[in-house]
Amino acid sequence: MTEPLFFDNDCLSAFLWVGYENLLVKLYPGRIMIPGHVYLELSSPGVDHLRKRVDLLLSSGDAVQKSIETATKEYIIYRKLTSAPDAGHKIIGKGEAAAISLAKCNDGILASNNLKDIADYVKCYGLKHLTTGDILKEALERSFISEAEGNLIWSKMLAKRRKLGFLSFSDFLAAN
Amino acid sequence: MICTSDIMTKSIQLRTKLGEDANSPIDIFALAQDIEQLTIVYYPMGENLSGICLKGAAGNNVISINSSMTVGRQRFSLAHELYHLYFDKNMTAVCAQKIGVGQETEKEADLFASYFLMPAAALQTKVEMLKAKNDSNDLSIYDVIRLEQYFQVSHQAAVIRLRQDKLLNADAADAMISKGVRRLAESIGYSTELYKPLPVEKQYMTYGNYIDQAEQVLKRGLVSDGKYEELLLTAFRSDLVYGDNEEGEEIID
Repeated sequence: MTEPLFFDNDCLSAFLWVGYENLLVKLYPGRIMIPGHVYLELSSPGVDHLRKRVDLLLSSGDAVQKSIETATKEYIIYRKLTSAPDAGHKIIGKGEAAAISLAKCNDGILASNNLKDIADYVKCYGLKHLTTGDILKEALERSFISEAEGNLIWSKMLAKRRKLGFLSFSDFLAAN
Repeated sequence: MICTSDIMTKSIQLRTKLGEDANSPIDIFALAQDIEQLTIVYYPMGENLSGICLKGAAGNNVISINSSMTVGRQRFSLAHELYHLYFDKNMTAVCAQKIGVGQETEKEADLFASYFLMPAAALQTKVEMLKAKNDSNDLSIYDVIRLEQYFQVSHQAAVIRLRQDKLLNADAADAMISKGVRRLAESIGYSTELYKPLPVEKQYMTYGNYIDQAEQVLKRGLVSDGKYEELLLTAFRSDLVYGDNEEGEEIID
């Protein structure tokens, strides 16, 4: 795989909180894309330390910030998802909408944990999709982490209220 | 022309409406959080603005407090903005500047804040007690500190009010108003939190209606989890999104 990965806040912040963003750099060199709206969410005063970690990724060239220009295909999708979704769909966050629209229009992969709310869009737009669990599993398969380390990372992410879907990394592996 | 007795009456009316008695010191931050449809935003606004009051559609109101000012000043600013919220009928949005500055309504709001936080009868009683204890007709700087600590108001607010009520003479008030009192307060055993702003990392916060509304739209399935978190982060509530920074179980006591 060489496609760019577009991260939403939930997925990216999970790695930032536990100090494992370098795992993303090792797994996906040159492919980490951070939507501008996700950067803004991570610039909230209470999580300034997360924004500083993102700034390091950006300044080192390990990640690229991607904005959505008005009057583009990305913008049309973004506006629909954040302002006027089809009947039966929830209004989704600006960060996750930006990640979806950028992934769709740049033949990229969506990195998001929020399966419950975005599954329809993944299907509708034919998106490739990775969760935090998928990323850690890939790190395990490439021997960047052990299962025990994965479980420790997992528990720390859960402590920061990240929605990972399973109680432990081992549980995730057993189901995937 | 400002009618002091009318302002005093309004301050007691609002205390009663909010479930407080007419004389006790109040925790105005906690009190304001219980006001329905009111959102309170704490945000550092620089040196020239102490608070903002916005009356929104359908009764959804916002009071913003300059959190870079001292805690004592923030309490006064909140009381000032409550005047605009409840008694300033012609206002939809107003920004407060320094104490004693501005148009008549601003001065009314300052006076209201003073009576709301330091009810006249309670202040008079405390002053008489201090004078009796000291066996003196004059209040010392330490007495003024004891009063501002009791009512939890800034030093400036206390001195202005004591002078206005003729409990301090003009010369004494002038000498005291610009005097730094933090060290003096410490020397007689008080915490100095009243005279300091909160730490910078705690100056951004939102309480009240906005947070409740965000929760409601999530529960009703109108927005995604991601949108809910975005709403909270926009309101500086990363603590609700990611949890507190403190580790360990909540202590139930």
